[in-house]
Amino acid sequence: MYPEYHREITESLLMDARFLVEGEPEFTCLREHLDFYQQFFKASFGLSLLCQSDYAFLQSARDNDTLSRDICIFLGVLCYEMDREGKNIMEELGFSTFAYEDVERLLELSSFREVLEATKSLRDSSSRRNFYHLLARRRLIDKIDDEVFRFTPGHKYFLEFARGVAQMKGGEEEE
Amino acid sequence: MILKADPDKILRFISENFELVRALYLAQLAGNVISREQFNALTRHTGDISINRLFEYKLLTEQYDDIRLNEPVRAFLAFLISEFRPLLPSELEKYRTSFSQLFNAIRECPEGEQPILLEQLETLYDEVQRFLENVENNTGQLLRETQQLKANKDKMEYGERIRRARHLIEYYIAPLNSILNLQHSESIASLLGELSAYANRERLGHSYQQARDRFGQLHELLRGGNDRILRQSRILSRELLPLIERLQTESEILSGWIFFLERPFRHKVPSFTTRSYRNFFGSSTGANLALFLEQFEQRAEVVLLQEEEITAVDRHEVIFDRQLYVGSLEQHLPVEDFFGWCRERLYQNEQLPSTERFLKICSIVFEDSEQYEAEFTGQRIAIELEDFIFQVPEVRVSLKQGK
Repeated sequence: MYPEYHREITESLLMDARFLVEGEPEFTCLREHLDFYQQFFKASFGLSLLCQSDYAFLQSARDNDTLSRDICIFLGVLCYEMDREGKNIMEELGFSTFAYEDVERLLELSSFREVLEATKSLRDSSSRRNFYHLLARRRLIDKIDDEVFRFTPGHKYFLEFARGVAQMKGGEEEE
Repeated sequence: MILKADPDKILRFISENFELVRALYLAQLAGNVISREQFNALTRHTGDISINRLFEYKLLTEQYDDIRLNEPVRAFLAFLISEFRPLLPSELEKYRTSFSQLFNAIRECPEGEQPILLEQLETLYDEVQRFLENVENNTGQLLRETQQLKANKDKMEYGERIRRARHLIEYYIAPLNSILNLQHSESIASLLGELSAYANRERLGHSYQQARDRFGQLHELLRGGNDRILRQSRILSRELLPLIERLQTESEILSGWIFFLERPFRHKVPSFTTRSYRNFFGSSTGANLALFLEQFEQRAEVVLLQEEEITAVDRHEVIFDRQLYVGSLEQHLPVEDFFGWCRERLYQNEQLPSTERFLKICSIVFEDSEQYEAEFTGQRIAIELEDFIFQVPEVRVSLKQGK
């Protein structure tokens, strides 16, 4: 009566609070039964399911989420620094692998160091190591080995947020 | 008409002063006209004779207070330097009118009016040629501008980059795409297709030889032109549009992050996901569980105390006299019904006959199993005590042989 991966889907989204991403059988299953799951999570837990073409997660009702803020700061600084190095940020985030060492170097030299230092989980490299573990558990990144990781499609959620900020600002300026 | 010099002399002059001419061209490209101040600045190190020649050779014309390159010179330099201002699509749209007017005139040209027909064909040929060149220059220029924007050599602000990219898409690239779209019946490209089909028929069927030749030339040009348009349209849709759209998105993302990073701890953040247990355990589950376990701890202590009391009382009152029973058993051996014997002894010897005491008596045989031999008859009998009825096997106990 329940879809094949029902238990895995519920556990991942609800208990692990992680992204399901394209390529996982659970994600395919979720998309096939999207209406059911949207109702299921809404009716059972009062949570809304956000499902895009290549990622999905359960949106919490909280609007001041520390993890979310930390991710925004991390991605924001990373994007800014990559652009400064003349890289195509969307291409890099979507298709490239990242060596922790390189990311650490970018962050260490960043002009946004003050912001990083004021952020508990991004303060120094040992805090950031925990942060990377957390990102992997939430499936925002995939660890390839001890030295390299890759972003999952989940990162697009945060890029869309940034775009929204710019568009809103642009709108304000035009008014 | 240039009165004061031969054409080759003028070319030599241009070639000798090419850096100046190029600077003038670029100044006009940027500002549409060259202002007097700009001109003075650019010709600061140029001798008066040369400055005069620029005007004498009609390379430059004066317009009120400003200066412009003469149009044919400007076009020639544009071709040489290959840097243009991208044409607004409406500048290309004018070709639609000239194409269709010439096309109509050619179709409706009465028999016997060959001279005008030939002239019209020639003009049409030139127009098509110019149109194709303009389109090619335009896509090339747009591509260069987009790439420059992408590399951001001018260190433009992200917001400015977005505006510039949007502007290029909206006013140049998208309209150019619709002009070149062969699928669209209203596009100039499809009008040229129609022209080409007509020229193809006429180059074989027209009654006048020279007209057939001209139609042939036109057809050749249009056939090649079709490929050229396709190529440009492909550059637009495969390269330019994705590039500039990505550029726009990317700049938006970056400027969004910068707005965010300006006040990262006060800006609102997107609602993410949180781990959720609340549906399985309440907030007081921990406290409840502790309370629950606590009651077991207490009960265990009580039980322990009681046990100690009971054994203490027993021990004080009567000590089990094992030797008494062993002696008694040895006197009575062999015993036919051992458990029955045990019960009999219990009630004879003990002031407080209890189950525990009964079991102790029974145990003397099993503790010294080397001494005794037990035979089971296979029957079961009931032994009734104060608070228990034991169903025990009937056992005959005797002294072991050889002892």
